[in-house]
Amino acid sequence: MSASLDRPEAVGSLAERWAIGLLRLPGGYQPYTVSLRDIERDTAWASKVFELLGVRPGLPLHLIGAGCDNEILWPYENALIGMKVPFGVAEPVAIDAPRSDMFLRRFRMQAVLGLSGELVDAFMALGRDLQALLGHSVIAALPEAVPILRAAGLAPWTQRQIGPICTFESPVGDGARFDESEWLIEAPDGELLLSSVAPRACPFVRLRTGVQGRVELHGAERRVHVD
Amino acid sequence: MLELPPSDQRCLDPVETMPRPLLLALQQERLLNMIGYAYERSAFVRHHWDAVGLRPGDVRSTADFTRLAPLMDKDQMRAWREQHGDPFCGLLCTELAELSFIGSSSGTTGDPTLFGYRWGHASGNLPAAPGLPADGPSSYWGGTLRDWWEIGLRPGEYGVYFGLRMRGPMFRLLQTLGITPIMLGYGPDDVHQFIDLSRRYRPTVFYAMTAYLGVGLQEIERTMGIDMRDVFASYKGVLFAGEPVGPKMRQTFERWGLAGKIFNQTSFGDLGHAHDCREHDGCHAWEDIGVAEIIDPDTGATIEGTGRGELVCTSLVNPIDPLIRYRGGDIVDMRRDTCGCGRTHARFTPVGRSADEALIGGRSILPMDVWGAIEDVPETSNGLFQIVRPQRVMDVLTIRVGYSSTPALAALRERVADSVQAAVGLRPMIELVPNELIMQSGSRHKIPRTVKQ
Repeated sequence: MSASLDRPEAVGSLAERWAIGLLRLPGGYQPYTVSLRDIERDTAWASKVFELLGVRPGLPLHLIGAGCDNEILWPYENALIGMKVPFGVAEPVAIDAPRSDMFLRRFRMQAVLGLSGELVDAFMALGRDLQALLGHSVIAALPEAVPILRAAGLAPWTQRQIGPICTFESPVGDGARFDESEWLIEAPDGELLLSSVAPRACPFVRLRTGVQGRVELHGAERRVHVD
Repeated sequence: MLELPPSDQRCLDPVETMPRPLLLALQQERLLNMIGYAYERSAFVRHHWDAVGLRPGDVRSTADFTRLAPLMDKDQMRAWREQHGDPFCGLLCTELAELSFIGSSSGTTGDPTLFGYRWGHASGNLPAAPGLPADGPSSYWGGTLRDWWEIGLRPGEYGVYFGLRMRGPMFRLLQTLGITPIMLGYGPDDVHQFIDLSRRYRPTVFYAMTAYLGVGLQEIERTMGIDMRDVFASYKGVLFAGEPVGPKMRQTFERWGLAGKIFNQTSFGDLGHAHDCREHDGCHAWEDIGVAEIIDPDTGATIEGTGRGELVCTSLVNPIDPLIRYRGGDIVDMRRDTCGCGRTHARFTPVGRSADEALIGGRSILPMDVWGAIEDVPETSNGLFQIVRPQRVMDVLTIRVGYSSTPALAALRERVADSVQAAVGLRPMIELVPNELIMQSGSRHKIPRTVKQ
């Protein structure tokens, strides 16, 4: 029996149900299925994100994320593997801060993704100079970390999770990009609603995300502005 | 591409039951290749071999190797890292750009050390198999695939994955076996979600159970009256990783219908992992993947064959950052007879870590010696404790013990001390702290069982 995961006849129906994730929404938890097709499409999007961030092959990158979000993180890891970018991983919580601290002290990371407020606070508690630690890296930080990093003279991108997807907004604040080939985001009443527009394993129809904002056109591209 | 055998076949790979003389010949062939490779590429290995005047050509057999090759340990690695500013401690045998994933150790005893991984397939959609053809069974992860197949995991099933990311995306191993992972984390509500998802999907494996999660499940049973036998009804295996299950918690899981289904995942000397099989008679050290020796922890002298000693391991299939005669401080009971499952590879039972051993009045005390005694007291039954060990030799055994609820502390202190004294014959000094303080003292999959202060 074949264990190939990149063929439709993947063993154990993995093509159809590659993983079960758990959405953590303001109204509660929702398990959802992702297929191999979803992963491949999300990997293609992740590659575009890294191109946007200026990530280059061969130089190390620090990818921070929680193990419970593997179905969201793996496309980014998969994209980095495809781009031949070595990456060190850590969790976004204070208890794992020594690991991120180690990676940032011992490597000149070309980029740091998923940097959380907990980690930034922990670095400061360790007496680290944020400029010295992060000044040479392109940073994509979670929203709560952005003001602290800006106050330290850094110019982070904002990485925001909206339902099962990550959006990325440049340091100039020109709206967050998302994968429009897979998702539609609307905000008819001020709350961002997420719908899938492609044949994903778990279709979403106007998923209430609990995030307040609006969607604006930037040329032909829709971008999200969070209030 | 890994070919899975028929579902009713117990072993994933014929090498698991290879006659021992053939296995040792295969091991020797790979070892001789590896030492030449590592000497040429690893600055750390070359330095330490040169220091004793040893060249790969001087080693013509496994016996020569265990007799002549120097041991290495984490202190040496860290010293190299600081002296040379090399985050990989001089072990990296490839260019950094050739790595796909940089994992790291738990960092329990200092700045984490690194593990480099390379993912086998260009698309990243298949797990790595450094050293041998991509995704072949004799690989860094291959041993884990064998162990999980032995548990009975089969294509089409679901597996709960409470995984940290620092050792790599091990959920990919479930997928290699055709199993859909259910991703959960360490948030307080995730344990509740585990209950619901187990009832909905009826998974067959839980990876990886920890004291932290076990305490949460016990609390849910106590406060919500959840029938844990029903929750775990579909499980073929619950894998403890990071640290073994304590005696009392084991009894709890057995009460939940998991007798014989509790598996221990331990480190194969940082070469990979080792698990017990369904015979539960020691963890299999795959000898086509590594050389597993034991030494006297004080003298470093090789202990031939079976017995108790410090585990020393050598990578055979890792071309990225191979460890050569690495002593990780794990004290094990080693056996080399054929297991009841028919596998011919060595197997070992972890006893403790040499760095955790305390000598009190000349008496050796390891965390496992007091674990059950602490669990026997109702208010400390979660088994959350740490031996305070500023140095190896001490006059008094001091144990910091976590408690739940709001007990009368003075009386509890005496009862815990009584229980430990009954178990080890020494009257300990007990420091009581809330459970949460112990759980916050390490990573969520591993509580440091000894602390300096």
